[in-house]
Amino acid sequence: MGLPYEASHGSIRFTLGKHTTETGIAKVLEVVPGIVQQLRHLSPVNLKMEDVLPHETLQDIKAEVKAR
Amino acid sequence: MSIELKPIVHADVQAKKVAAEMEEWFYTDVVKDHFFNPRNIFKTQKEIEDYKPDGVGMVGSPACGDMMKMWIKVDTASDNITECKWQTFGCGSAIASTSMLSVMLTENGGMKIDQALQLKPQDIVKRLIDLPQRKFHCSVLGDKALRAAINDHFRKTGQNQRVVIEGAKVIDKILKITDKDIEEAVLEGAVTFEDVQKKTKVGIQDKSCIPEVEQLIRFYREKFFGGEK
Repeated sequence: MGLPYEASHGSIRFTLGKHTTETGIAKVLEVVPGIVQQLRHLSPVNLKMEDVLPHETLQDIKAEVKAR
Repeated sequence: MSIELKPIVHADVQAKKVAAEMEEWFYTDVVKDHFFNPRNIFKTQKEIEDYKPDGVGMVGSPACGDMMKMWIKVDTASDNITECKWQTFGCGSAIASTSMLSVMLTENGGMKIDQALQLKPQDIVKRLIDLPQRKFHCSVLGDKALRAAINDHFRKTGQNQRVVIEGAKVIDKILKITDKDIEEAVLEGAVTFEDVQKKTKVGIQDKSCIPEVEQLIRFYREKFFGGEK
């Protein structure tokens, strides 16, 4: 995806396909945030997206999210 | 028309292979317990800010995928580590290893610093009952963070003569390969000189270093895997 190591090592990539169900997504949304919170709490790394992404990339992503 | 030949794998052989692979990735109950219920951690961000440690050590980086920070408190009179707090960014094995290390350091009134400096990654693995072979290197980082924290304590208390510096020494004088490179190759699973050479290219041009490399491989095998095999 062309992101720096620091970003990819702190990321989860979800891939959705034709077998993905709404129940499945709901389950992920129910379970994953708690796990992420726990792992962040245990981690000395406190990077924000601004710290690891070039300014222009970040602007592009924000624009794309807004456009959707 | 060509005929495609497919290897025939007997069902039993296949099942055994799957079982062997599963066993390799088996996490013991102790590992799981320390991952899900980590010991000696800070509860809040404020607790971290208010903490007054006698030594702090940090190793790794977010880019390499593992990072560890360790805070220790030392009782000056007895030279015992009385408290040990930590944060780890890494896999489940890395988190469980640091948690177990913090318990080992602080149980029974705390471990003497000299004893703590003797701790080997395999001691942590033993207390965890076991780690998958390919996860062994995860127990090494905790050990390094601890050494950094102890050195920080030595410097803060004017005990500079006790600071332990782990410097790298050049072994292969042509390709400039150090003992650290060989250590890393062994941690990644290299057993024989040929394995290490494949990974590091050591001794290909500078053949004079081969005996020393073989000695280092034995040393690191002993250090990390207790000399088994």
